Amino acid sequence: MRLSIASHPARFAALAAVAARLFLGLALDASLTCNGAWISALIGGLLAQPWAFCVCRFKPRGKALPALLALLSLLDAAGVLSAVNRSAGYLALDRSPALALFLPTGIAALWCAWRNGDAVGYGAMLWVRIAPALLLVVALLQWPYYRPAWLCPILGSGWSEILEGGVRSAGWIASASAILLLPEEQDRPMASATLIPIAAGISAILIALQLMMVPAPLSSGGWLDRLDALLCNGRAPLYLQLPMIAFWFAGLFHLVLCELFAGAALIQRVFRRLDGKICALIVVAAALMLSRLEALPAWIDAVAPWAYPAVGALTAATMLLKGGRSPCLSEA
Amino acid sequence: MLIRSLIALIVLSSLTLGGCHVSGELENQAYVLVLGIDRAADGQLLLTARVPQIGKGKPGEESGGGDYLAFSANGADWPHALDALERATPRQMNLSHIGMIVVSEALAKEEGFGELIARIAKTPHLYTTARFAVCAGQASEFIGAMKTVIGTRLSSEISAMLDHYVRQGFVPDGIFADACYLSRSIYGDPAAILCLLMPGEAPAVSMIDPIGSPDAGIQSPMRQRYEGAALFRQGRMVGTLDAGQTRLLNLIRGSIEALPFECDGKAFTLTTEGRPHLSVDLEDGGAALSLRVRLTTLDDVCAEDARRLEARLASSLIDVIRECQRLGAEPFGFSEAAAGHFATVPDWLASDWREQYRRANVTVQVEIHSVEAQ
Repeated sequence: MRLSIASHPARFAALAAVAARLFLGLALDASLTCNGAWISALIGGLLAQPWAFCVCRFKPRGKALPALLALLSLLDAAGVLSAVNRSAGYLALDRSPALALFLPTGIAALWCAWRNGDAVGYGAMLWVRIAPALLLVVALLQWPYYRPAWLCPILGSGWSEILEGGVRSAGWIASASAILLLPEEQDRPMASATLIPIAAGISAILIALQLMMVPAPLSSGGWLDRLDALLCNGRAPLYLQLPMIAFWFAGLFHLVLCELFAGAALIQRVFRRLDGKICALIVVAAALMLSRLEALPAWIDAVAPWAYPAVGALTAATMLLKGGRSPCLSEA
Repeated sequence: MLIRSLIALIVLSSLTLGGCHVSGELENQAYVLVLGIDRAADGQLLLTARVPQIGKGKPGEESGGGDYLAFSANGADWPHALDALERATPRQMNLSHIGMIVVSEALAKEEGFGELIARIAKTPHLYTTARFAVCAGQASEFIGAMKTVIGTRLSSEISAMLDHYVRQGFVPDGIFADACYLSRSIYGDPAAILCLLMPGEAPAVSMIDPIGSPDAGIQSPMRQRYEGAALFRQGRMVGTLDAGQTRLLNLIRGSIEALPFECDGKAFTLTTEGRPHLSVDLEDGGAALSLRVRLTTLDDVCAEDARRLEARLASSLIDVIRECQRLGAEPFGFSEAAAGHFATVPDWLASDWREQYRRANVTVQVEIHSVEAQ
């Protein structure tokens, strides 16, 4: 079985994944950018857009870039799985073993990957159409509690941290949008590349909404504190948590699905003899094992500032040394 | 085949749901409705939880028709006290439905109270929409005397009663999450609901002290009184405002829409026209706070009376702001306005805003329009 996806559903999968990854990374995982987190998301989107255009339009040759992106996607997917597990444990299932929390997500992701790329892409397409309605419900119900003044001072910790957040964001975008490398026929490369800043813009809006709910510098607390503030911020009524939780888990699920599928498909591009189902099984199992490592958040944090420079440099080097339009990506 | 596989997968997945082994049935839960926090005589933290007794009421009545239990336990600090309370409670203690957290005034004035609030906020699910009150005496006694008066359930009784007082402006909205956020944030300070328990079994003679009529002589079967605001500075209680001052505080914060006000022996009802405008001018010599309030009255007020009313209200508002400046508490929202003048958080923190706020000049502009005159 060859893992593949058409360019149209791949764009939707990347859109949902990038928006969710930037929000997860800037609003929950990394606290360094404070009030300026939404600016970091926009900078990340602008940084990653030329790279996305390059890989969609010219399709760099060789196996190095798919291998690097597969590794980054796998690492990132493990981090997101860990976030899903921590969220589920925090909300209701705090006495459940980690394996029991992982299995529903892992099995669902594996099943979707085995149904191939269109299942992943068209699922994301549905989510992209439902999510705005859900977000509108949440935003309208929380409207009285938003305090725009909490966005000030507008630059948060300062330009240096905003730029660092931007570079990290670009790295997260690279791993979350690796699925854009997979379509064998890229019908509209510019449209694929343009969705990156659009997704970054959506993420910036979500981050700004969250910053208006909880004042700085509460982001200096722990991950669960930030999740608590996000899901049940203490002012919104209990019933409001339901659409928030649905939004949160559906967003994370599409992100992890997109990254796991991209990781499996890219591994198949590197090791062409491997069956797609085996690749998906390997990636899901590896993500499971990685997600249970205590050191994983530290690894992701350490990799984040270097991910985009590495991906960008490798893409440029591949283009210069081997050129574009690789048969390994466009054949079959 | 696809549908069968899907159904099989969903059924199999449901078996792995880890929550099934933790029974979440109502009978297994002890829902805490009110949580009291005191400093015990031996220096430990004393927690008191008010829990409904399920199934004790008459058939058809909800939540036991007013039967409640109080569990108390103490510990050296928050985690130990909470753990002791969990042991004292014969069911799974569930904090997700807390309506009010009551802290004794003595504890709220302690040096490390800000850290205690931060520690409480880290307790999962605890501060979901809970109100935050400071009790003049012991919180445990205050909670022990709580009962339903008009409603059938204490949980809805608390929220309905406090919503009413907040709408009237006698108490601040006092959301616990806001107290946690503002105690740790770079902006202003929170204000909590001020309450006290009248001594003995005699009912409170006055529930509230509206501005201009300190003793309204209202009779009530409740022993609890909710009036005024407890002011905090960087997480520690520093003073109080009475019910009349709290109404003006709520007017400045934009929390109330109507303000009964008395001037020269005449009573007026004023309605707000949008939120008051707060601004801060940061000059070299110090800060200047400006407040602009626009109100309408349905009463028949001549131009001369309107100007007198404006002057009187402006003077009262300045007095409230000056009182808070004196205490070093900033519950109005001037800090957020001032923060907008700075590009980064380090710049804002380096500006020594708190000291500037204490010494700031205050300008209040009140505009009152009479609907009758128009």
